[in-house]
Amino acid sequence: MLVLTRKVDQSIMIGDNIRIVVVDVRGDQVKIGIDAPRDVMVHRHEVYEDIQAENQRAALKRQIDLGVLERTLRESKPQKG
Amino acid sequence: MGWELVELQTRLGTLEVDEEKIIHFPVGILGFSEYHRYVVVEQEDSAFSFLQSMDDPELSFVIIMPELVRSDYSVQLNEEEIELLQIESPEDCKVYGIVTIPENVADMTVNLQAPVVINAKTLLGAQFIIPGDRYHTKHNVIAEMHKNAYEMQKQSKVQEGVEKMQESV
Repeated sequence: MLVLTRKVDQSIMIGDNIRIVVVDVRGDQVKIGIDAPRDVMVHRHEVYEDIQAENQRAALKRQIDLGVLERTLRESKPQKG
Repeated sequence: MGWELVELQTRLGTLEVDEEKIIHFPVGILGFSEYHRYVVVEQEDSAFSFLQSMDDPELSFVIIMPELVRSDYSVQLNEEEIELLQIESPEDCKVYGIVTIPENVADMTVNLQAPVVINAKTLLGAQFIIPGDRYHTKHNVIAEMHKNAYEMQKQSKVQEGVEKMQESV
């Protein structure tokens, strides 16, 4: 991994059109600004990983009959509480 | 000029897809960013539909309209997201939640934190992440639906009460 040292208000370019700015540093927290084209999605890593993993789980591994899902919904009993 | 039918062997069987219905996902679904073309396969009389990849016939998702699970569900898009899908009017958009179906079907969950938004007019789609902690990736579909029905019942009772009070005034 490339490691660069930057001060507040200094930035880093990734390619031609992604700019990362160090906005503020307080204690162990760093505020980061990101300028990126709109087709580049920017997310916190944890959130990104969580959703990616859920999508992987959701991708069908077997044939699913929507009728079965529908029936499951209809026949389910309300849960107490 | 005319449209063409594309035939695709999928987990859902043989699909005949009208080329004009193919939705382009400029960014792709998270974790599947190499695929950009999808089609929504609706089933009659079902709350569920399929989101089928046109690039990989093996890749399909079950989707559901989130308001069936949470009647107050709403998505607020930021400027970049609106531009990405070239949205002119919210009415042009359809919102879906991706459903995860475990071994026990009754435990199915829906991801309300990262809905799929499709602009039916421009045929552009994307999966967006809703900021904040209002929604997460695993809402139990059945539990939420019952809660939803209960809330709506309660609301209509309150409404009835209000109407009765108004009548008696």
